[in-house]
Amino acid sequence: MSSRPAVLAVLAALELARAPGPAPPSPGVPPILLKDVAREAGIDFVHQNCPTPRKHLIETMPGGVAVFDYDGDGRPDVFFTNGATIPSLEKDAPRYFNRLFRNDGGMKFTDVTDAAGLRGAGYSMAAAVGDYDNDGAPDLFVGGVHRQALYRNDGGRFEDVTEKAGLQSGQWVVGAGWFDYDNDGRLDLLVVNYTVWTADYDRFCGDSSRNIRVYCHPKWFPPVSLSLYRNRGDGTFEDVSARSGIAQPQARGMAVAFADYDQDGRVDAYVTDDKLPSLLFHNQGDGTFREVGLLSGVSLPEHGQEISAMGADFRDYDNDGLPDIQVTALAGESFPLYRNLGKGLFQDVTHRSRLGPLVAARSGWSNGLFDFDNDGWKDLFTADSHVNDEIERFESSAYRLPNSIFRNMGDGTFSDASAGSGLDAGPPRVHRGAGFADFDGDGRIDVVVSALQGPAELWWNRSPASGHWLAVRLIGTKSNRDGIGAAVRVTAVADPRWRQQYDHMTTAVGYASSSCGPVHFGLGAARSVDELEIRWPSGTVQVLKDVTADQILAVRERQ
Amino acid sequence: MLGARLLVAVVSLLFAPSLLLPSQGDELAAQSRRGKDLMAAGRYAEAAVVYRELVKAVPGNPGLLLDLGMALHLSGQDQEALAPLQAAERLQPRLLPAALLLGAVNLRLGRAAAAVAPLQKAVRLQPDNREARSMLAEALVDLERYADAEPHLRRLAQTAPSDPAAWFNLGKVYEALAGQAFERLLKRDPESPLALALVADARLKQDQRTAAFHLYRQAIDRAPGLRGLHGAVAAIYRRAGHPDWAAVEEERERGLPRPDCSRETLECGFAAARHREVVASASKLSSPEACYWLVRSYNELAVQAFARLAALPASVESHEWLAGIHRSERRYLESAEEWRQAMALAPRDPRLKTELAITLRLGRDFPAARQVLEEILRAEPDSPEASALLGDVLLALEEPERAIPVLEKAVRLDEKSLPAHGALGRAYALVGRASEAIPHLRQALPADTDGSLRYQLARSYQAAGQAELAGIALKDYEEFKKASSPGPEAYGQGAPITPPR
Repeated sequence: MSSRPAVLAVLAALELARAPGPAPPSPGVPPILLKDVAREAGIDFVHQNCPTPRKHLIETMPGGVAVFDYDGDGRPDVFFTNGATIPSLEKDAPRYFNRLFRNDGGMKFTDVTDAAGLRGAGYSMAAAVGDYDNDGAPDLFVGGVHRQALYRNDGGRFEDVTEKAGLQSGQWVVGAGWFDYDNDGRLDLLVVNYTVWTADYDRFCGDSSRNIRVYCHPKWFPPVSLSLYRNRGDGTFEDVSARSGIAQPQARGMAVAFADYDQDGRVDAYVTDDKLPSLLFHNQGDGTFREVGLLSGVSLPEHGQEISAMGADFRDYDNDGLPDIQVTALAGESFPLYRNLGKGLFQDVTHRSRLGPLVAARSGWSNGLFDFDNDGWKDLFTADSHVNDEIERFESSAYRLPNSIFRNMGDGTFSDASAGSGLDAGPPRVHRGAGFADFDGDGRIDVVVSALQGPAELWWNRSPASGHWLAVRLIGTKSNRDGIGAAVRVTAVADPRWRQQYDHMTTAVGYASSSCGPVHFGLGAARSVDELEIRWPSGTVQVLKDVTADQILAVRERQ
Repeated sequence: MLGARLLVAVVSLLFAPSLLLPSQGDELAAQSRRGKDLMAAGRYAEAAVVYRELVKAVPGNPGLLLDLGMALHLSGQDQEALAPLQAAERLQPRLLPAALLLGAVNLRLGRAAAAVAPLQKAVRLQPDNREARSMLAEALVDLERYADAEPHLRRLAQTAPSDPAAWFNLGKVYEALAGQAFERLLKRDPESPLALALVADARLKQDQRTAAFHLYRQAIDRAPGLRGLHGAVAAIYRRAGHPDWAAVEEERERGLPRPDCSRETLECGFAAARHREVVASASKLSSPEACYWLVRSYNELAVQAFARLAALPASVESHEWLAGIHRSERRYLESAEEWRQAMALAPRDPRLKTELAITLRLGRDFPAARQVLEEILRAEPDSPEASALLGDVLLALEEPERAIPVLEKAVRLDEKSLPAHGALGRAYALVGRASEAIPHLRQALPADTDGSLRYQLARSYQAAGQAELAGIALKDYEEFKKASSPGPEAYGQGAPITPPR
């Protein structure tokens, strides 16, 4: 770096004269193309959040989505949480029902809510998929305002077993996730609670001189404890929130994501926090967790200011074998990307990854690191919009936004692939939850997105010339049936752009949402995988060699 | 606006009789004429060279010293202008232009304290000289001697009632005086019901009715006989849709004994809108009551001054006043529009541009803020404030590489600027230059209002391989956050408005 300040100043002046803009797409790189086919597909869901003049905070927070194969036909289906009337918080009309859409194949869906028994009750927010009873049928947890429900999947029909399971709660739930924290082969449940709120809360927030009322800033709401429920294996759960240490830090929790970040064989949990430091719970292996967010460097972005952290994904974006953390937030706060350095430490590489300037003006909720162009590098999708519906009357930020997609360049950086992807083709909306899956079995990851007071979107991945792929569907035997927590590594020498990729099985991704699909890998030019390694939560390591690409491979845990 | 004032001074001097002694000769006279011609042509630096020669040739001539000082000042060489001007004043103490210019030069150099004496002299010499009085008021305001500035500003407003700047400046000084009186009240008696009442008034003005209601209630509990409080509570009840409750409070207000004007002169004076009288009397007293009536009277005087401003045609000052109100109430879009309108009327005033940039920054319009700041820096490349602001905006745009040279310059220009050090530290940290970040972050710590600088310091130590110091800094951050964490009373909607007790 030159040590001549005068020269630098002149250079800086010249640099400053140029208007900033997004990095141009690399020449020769095929675009990522997405098309919204919700209407044609038969997904006619419109999220009803019941906005009121009083601007109840719950109105701006819902929208969780779950993607899972509820009927075991090999095709991922879609579940939308929905709101309710305020202040009663009752689903007193069909437009407030939660909805389940069965995937009929060929990108066609049918509303099977009633047949499945999933209308729900109360003001629902979050969904989390996990086969908690290991019977091969994925079950569904739905959290909401002062209510949470566990639905046991009985061959495609769901039964509300909340009370039987011991999961009643009066908390306001905005997120949840399944993981096997004690490696006993049974999925446990971490529930993300946000704050204390009642319908008679009536603080005026906004500009009274112009009679503009806005959703109150989170600082007016107290943080609360998170909840952890240990699966006893008999259909019931034990509240171990306090004993485990999960309840100790107070948080305005938003989303949860899981990964074994220190590769000690125990899955850890990351919880985003609204205008408070986010939390990283290190699984101590003795039934307890130690909160290490600040020490690890993942509680706050490098600038040290608390952000409105929203969605989270905990996945290896740079193929170094260590799961990283990506978080969404509001305009001006950036979307932090924390790179796992190993030894329990992370580094905020938002700027170095070039993600920083790309997201500076964006506000995001649900997010996901998935390989959309199957080149061997996980890209980033974010469901975007602001939290404040009157923001445009106060500052230069937008409320409704198109979603975003950022291409992973394979060198630690991202480029903005949104323009021209099709994401900006439709009207901007108030996006919230997102679910990721290959809905049509063509090996390309699609996305379903919810929007407040707007139609859901089904983004069909039509990216041309996308590479080969492999989807690994895990069937645990000693480990939990879904294989949640299993670490998967693929190796292939055929594509020089990547040699190894890493992922793990999780259904907790994004905000208030859940995606239960096979572990997906884009393979680029590789027509086969030289080695596929699975490290099951039970400790079993399974290695498959010369696996052909372009298939969904079911792998049962070796007994 | 020193430029206009100086222009007046220059014009008056150019047409003033030459102060050269008659016996100096043709050559010197020719040089003197040349000097004047250069001044008239605006070629001040060249004129300064001529006047230096003349001063050398004719030392001790106050007129030439004055001409030299003026030329140096107008060519931007204020530091060099001081010596000849001071010499001219010493030689001819009643030389008005020398006093004026000394005041202007000291103001331009940021030496308000040194500007006061010569400007006071200028005002004494020529009481009707508005420029002198205006500059004197400016110097006194810079020194926060608002009470001394007020009579000058009042006279300026009274003698030129259509001058928006006069009313604007007067209103701002009254606001400042109210603030000082309030600080004195808080120092004397922080739990005073009078202080509570004043804070309640302020909350009510911001439409925070619930907060105001509870503050008035507390004040009433401590001073049930304090007039006006029940009336204020009644007004809140009425707006909240409770006329029956309001009637109870209004009755209580009416039931209070009238003030005894032979003793409670300040209250009676205020009620009779004799605010200047109240100020004059209360200023001599030190009681909490005196402070209370000072605050209220100064606030009323400020309101009156701004009302006079608002009644005049739109001006830079009226737009600036509105811009300030909008910004304080977080209406950044409206504030930016007002700054723009002010700039349209005074396009060469860099201060307005800076205020616009600050407002755009607050409203998160970073690209627009950047554009404005770049314009400012093109005109004033050595502005430390603009450099620091631009650096901050570039960081907000996630462009630390571009921010670094800008912030390095800001720190060079103003070594004491804590925000510039903090921003530079952050920029270094973002691009991986942790070791360089550390000293700047440490220097900026006194300006750390939310713990973020402490956190950045911890992360920088970590990145620089100084794990032990990282641990200490992180602990410091945690303790800072703990100490500044809100208690449970900060949450919720607060206690509701309740019926009369």
